[in-house]
Amino acid sequence: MAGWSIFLATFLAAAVEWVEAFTIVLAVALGIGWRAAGGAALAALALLAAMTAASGGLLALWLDLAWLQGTIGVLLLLFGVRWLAKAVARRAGLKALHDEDAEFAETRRLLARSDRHAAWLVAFKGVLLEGLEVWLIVVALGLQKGSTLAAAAGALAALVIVAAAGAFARAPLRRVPENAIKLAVGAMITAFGTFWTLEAMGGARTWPWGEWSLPALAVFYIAGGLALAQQLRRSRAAASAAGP
Amino acid sequence: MSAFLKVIVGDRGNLAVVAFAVALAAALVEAGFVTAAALVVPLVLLAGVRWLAAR
Repeated sequence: MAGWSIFLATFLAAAVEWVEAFTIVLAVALGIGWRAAGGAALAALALLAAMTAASGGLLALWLDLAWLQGTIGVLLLLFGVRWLAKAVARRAGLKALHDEDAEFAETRRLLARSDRHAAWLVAFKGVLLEGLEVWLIVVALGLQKGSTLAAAAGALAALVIVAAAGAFARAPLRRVPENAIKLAVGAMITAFGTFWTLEAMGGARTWPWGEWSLPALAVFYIAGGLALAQQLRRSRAAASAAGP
Repeated sequence: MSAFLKVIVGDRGNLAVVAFAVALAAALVEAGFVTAAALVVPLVLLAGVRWLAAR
């Protein structure tokens, strides 16, 4: 069960990040060509792969199991809580939805003043920064009980699908339901973080249902996130109706 | 470097929410309320999510 849930969590999280990275690479490719922009993206992906291999190995060597579990749990909480809060704020209308077309236009505007070398760097940096979140999730989820293969496969599968869809469309991938995915992934990552942080502190007796507590936690955070978004939306509507 | 740190920990509010939840979990487990920690910590984290979303 854990292997599939890790694959799904990394696949969904990586898909969101790769879509954002693709928008930047597409904008650069229209200026300096697909060969150069693709080269910049591949260089960033190679660096991310090296970082994943090195950091995963170092963490596994340095920390014992309880410390490793605790460290991973806290890292996942830092990541999951942020994604969940962002998705709730967007669903409640408190924060604007991520707009791939606006991102594309902004990158094109920036590139209009740049030379070829600077444009290459924009593609490299864009893929690297978006990929850092994927790196964090793959390393954190992959270290637990040797699930590196499932985590890396999830991220790679997402990369292949986004790259194929991008190559076919040759336009920003605006139809991806980014916020719904972000809410689900934020809930799943927060569930993993809660489970492992508490298990590292209290041992196996912390969770009476064992690993089945994980889907229960994920459902709790998804339902809680949806309820919070609705409640925040109502509060906002009531405040607007009350006037200044 | 600041972009890297932001990816890892998020902003101060995010760090505060997680630090509070982890400190509470540690205090409850240390006091022997392990099952209570498993019930209370998810609720505290969800309250933190609400606070972060509403800021």
